[in-house]
Amino acid sequence: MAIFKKKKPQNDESRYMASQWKLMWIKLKKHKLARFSMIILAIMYAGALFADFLAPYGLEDFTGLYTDTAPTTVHWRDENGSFSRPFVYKLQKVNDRKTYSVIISEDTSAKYYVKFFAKGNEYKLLGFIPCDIHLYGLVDEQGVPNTEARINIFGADSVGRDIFSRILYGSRVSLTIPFVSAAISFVLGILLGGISGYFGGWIDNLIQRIIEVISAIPSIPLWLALSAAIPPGISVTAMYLYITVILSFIGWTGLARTVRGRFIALRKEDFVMAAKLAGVSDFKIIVKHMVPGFLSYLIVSLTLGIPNSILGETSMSYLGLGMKAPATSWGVLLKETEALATVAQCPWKMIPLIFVIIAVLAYNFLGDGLRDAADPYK
Amino acid sequence: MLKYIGKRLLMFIPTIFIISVVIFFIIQLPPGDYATSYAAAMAAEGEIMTPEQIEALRAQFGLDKPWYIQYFSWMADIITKGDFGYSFEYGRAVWDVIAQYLPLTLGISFVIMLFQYVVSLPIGIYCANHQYSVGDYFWSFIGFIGTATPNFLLAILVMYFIYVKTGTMYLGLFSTEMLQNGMRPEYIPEFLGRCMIPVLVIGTSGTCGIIRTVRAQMLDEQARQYTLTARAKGCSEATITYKYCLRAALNPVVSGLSGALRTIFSGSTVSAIVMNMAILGPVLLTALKSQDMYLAGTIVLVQAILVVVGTLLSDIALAWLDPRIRFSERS
Amino acid sequence: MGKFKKWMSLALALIMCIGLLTACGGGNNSKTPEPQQPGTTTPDATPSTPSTPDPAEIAASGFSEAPYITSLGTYGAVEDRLPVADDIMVESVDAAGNPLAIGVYGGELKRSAGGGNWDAGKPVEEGLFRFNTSAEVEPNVAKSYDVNDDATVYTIHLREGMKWSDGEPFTAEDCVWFYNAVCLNNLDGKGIRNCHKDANGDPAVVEKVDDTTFTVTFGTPKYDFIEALVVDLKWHYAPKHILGDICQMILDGKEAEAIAAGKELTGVEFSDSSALGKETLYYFWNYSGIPTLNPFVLSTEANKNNVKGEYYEFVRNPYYWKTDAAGQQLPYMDKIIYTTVQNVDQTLMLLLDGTVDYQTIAVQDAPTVLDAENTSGTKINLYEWSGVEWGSAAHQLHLNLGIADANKNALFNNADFRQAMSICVDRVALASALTDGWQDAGQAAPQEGTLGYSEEWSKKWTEYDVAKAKTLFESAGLVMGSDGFYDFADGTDFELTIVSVADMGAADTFSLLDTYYRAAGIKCNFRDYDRSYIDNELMAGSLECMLYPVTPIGDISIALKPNSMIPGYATNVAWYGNIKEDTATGDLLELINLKKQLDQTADADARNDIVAQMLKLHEENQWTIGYVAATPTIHAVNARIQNFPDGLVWSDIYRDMGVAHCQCWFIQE
Repeated sequence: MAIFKKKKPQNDESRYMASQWKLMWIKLKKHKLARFSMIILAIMYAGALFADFLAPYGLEDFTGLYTDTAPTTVHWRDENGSFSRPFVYKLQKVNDRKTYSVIISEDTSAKYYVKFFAKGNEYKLLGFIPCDIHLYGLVDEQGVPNTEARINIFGADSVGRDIFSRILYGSRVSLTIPFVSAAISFVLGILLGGISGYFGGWIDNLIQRIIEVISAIPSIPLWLALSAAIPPGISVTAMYLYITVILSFIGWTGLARTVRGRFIALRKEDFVMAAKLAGVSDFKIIVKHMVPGFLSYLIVSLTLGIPNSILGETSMSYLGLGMKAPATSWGVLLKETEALATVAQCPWKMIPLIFVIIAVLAYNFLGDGLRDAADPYK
Repeated sequence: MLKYIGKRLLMFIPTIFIISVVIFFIIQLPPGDYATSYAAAMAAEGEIMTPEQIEALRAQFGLDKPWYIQYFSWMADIITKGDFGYSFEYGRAVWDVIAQYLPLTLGISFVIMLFQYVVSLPIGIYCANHQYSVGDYFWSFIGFIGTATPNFLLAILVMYFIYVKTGTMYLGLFSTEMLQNGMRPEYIPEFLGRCMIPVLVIGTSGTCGIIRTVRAQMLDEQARQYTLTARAKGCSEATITYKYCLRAALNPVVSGLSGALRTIFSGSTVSAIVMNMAILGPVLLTALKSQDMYLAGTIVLVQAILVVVGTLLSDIALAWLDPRIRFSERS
Repeated sequence: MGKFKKWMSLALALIMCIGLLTACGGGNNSKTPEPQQPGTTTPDATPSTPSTPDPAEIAASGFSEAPYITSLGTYGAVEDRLPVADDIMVESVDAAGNPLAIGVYGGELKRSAGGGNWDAGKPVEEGLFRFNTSAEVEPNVAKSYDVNDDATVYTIHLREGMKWSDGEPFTAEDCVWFYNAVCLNNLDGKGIRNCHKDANGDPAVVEKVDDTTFTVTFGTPKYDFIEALVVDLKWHYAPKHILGDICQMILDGKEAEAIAAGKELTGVEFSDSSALGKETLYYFWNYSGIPTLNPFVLSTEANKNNVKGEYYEFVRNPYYWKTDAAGQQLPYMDKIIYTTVQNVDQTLMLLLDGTVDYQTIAVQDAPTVLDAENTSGTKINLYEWSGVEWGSAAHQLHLNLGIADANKNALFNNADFRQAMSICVDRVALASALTDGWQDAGQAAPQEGTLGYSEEWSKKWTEYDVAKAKTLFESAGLVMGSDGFYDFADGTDFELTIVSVADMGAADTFSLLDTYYRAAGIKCNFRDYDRSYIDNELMAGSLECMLYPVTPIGDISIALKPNSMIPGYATNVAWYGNIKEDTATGDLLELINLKKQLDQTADADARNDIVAQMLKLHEENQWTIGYVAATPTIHAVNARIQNFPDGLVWSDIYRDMGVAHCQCWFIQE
């Protein structure tokens, strides 16, 4: 072994005593990219949790004046060129019917100052604390909250809603539902894969055939059938959640195969035999003795399943099968960019894409980090 | 061994049967049928059909019978006559429609797969040999961005970029002239140019995965005892990399090929729609939406059979390679 | 006879001068049909346009044909292919009466479309008669018609020497056979159209007089046969020399033989005889090998004749029977070529680089389209046509007045409730947001310049007044619940379920409307569905409330096309759902009765009066609620296309793009 690069001697006695989880955590913390990703994800989830507070406007707050407008210019210098509190001007818009052009300009007659912790729409923080303070908002020169002018830091969509606010609200769906679906697949995969691998015989055969049938059916027909079969009167978000749940009842197959393989390998191990002879129940053997043996691997696959789910949501929304307006998710926001005219005229509508990419990358890096951390040989 | 294969083959038939029932059930699950979707399509173009006319249409297509009766007559025709039914939408036999789109579908899938491996293998090897170098980070980053961007948006962006630069919209694989006059030698450069977009867009998403697998496997293999032995014996680095490590590293990559069968028909539906490619993915989606059930059913069924056959083949291959699996199945 | 003529003239004057007024500014030609002398018959159904050149004069200077035809070398002299000189139809003005330029031959119109059908059919369709955009009937395939005094016998005159696109003569036999063999036996799946039924519902008798004349005889007076013919049936002919035998086989029950013959003819194997009949007789333009009278006929070349394929083309008809004012046989263009796209948005992309010549676009896309000149050098002209809907179709709220739920039925039929739903919304802000500032706020009412327009109606219930809306909700029987939303008086929850067709943008409309409804105390939910589901539910009458329906309210005229405006005349209209004559009450029943009365009335003044009464009922009740003024149709046309008419009207009964008469377009690079 001496030819291999020598690892630093462990001075820390506690390390030998640390549990598997503790060891993983220690290693994970050392993985810079994973640590950074965790921070990013924490910020994103916090953003979703406090969306009402962070977003200056409500989900459906619109203004006809601001349709398809670029990110608001925030001014730092007043007309004399000296520094001032940050302020914005209201827009004015002229539609020229003859030339089919829209001329948008700033109305410099009045200034609207950016104020942090400004009063705005009422909402319930965390779902129960009534509140009307937003991270930032506009006030006029007298300091009165203003709704005429808007500050849309990422621009506005085709009906004049603030894209930044909508990204925050959309993240509530886009970041949580994939989590739910991955979690369900996870539980089912372990359970059925475990049963299949542990007991073997006809149960194994049956489950294997079920897996074969389920994994042979492509997902698009399923989406179509399910989204049409769910009865009307159910809100779009609930519908999407249902479909995700149903699909996670289908998505467990890959995981179940892996779990089964591990179980077949593990059940021959001496410690399982010992537990059996000691009279431990089958269920307890699975849960207490076998699952922890490869749980770390499962956690990794769970983590890596989420980004695929997030990307899948955007595709399904594009096809009109996933989330749909009036509900909001990142996929719904990106659906507006499907027309080329949007890319040409309103490139800021691509901003939600950046959030998708960041979330997907963060989950991938975190998964990588977890994999490295979970590998006992590294 | 023969017994094992026989047993698996025996299971094959009931599995396919169950899959076909499930598929047919799912396809007819959404409310309405082809008659209503046809009436709706006509209504959108201004022609209003009366309930009686729709009922007549339903009787004409045999849609007035319960789904299991429709299923059995469909199956009976497939088994006895090899007739996969009639596509309402195209007004032709299902197999004719599939045959129309199959060559291009297979061609595109093949080229994309080729692209993925040709690009990602060298990069994967490079990254493994130069771990934590600037190149490693650069390629990993590119690969990650490729995976993290929804394909269809990437396609729109690429097409827009080309349009702004050249004034030409490379939408679809064929220009109007190619469709009008057939493929002529002088069109080939443009055709290849048009192929670049889907290959790049769809290819990049898979590329990252392969790069990562190859890199990780190569690193694993390089840490093994036999690598050390080889190096100690004085083998050249090239021999170690290509003769020993790469071979072992390719194993999971090659076995991933069987998974490709799954995506060959409808893997890149969304991108194909965005890029206006006439391949089976969009055809399937349209058929499903308009409830052209025999067409949709056949495409999905063929795809499902491919998946089952793929699994079967890989299981048999594994059993052949690894006697432990044979014995564990027997016990 | 004189009485009829007088009625005819007045009716025409009456049937309103559509949105031209609004669309093309001073372009409206206040053409009043001159009063007819009693007892005289005119060969023409419409007053002749003074600018129409005399066919005899054109004949004297000679006819010319397209170089494309000459180069094929297989056709005889152009004079032999056209009808006799007097019967040639000369296209010298567009559907709005504006003169057309004399064009040059050659070139192709490049379009994108999926799957043929009406999108490819309407532009080339040739009816027996056709409408101009003042809703006046013009001669087309038929040269003229006469009618007897009690409007029971119509005599239709055809053009002598006219030929099918395969060169065979087109005669009255083709028209008579079409009715007697095809319609009466329901071979084309559409059966006997309403235009052929008299007041008792009995079918007309159609008889051949000679090769260019046939009669249509009704049991009771049929005052609007010609208009109804254009609306319901359009063509009234089929090529007997080609399809006669096949139809006979179907009638004789020889299905296999008929299918084989159909395959021989079109190259397509139809699944059964009803498909064969419908496809070859009703959707005939979709199949190559079936001769037509259209300016462009589907190619017979392999790989270019499958309308479900990636590429197909319609080629000029060498026997087309119209010329321009200079004696050039139409059409000018050689082909219309189609390439398929996966979704409609992609057509816009292809328009930008000149791959496609023509597409209707949303006004929001206009800046992008105009910008193409700078990016790809493609110059695109925009033409604005008015529509016929009462208010923007995309943003009309239809409450199903025939809903089964008793509470909701009572509520929706209560005018106070509808008024409240109308005034609780700030239309100005809504319209500006939904249309990017291009459209004004409005109500579901006839547009300016169309029949029934009044300023008062277009402003009805359009003020924004939440407080008043709340009192109206209460007077309609709703009670404010503890959750801040209105409930029914019996304490049950009231929640409005609004649905729409997927991918039509109604979800955005709903999102914005919902903010107002909620503020006024109305709880709503929304979901959009595939069109087929919506249509199915519409027929069952079970949809509660709809935004952006398949059929918006409003059309050319409540008398000509009552489908979306009078209960029982269509099966897919959201606001009256399942209501028919036997289930209608109150003003709805009154409306149905007025329509029946109209069908029995010959006198023009009386007819006008009835139409006015029907519209008044609509105005009083405001059964559907509009929020945004009607949107015009904007045509983006590559600048190389000439003679594209401006300021027409987009309507199905004008055959949408068909009214632009693409045979008169020509290409100048």
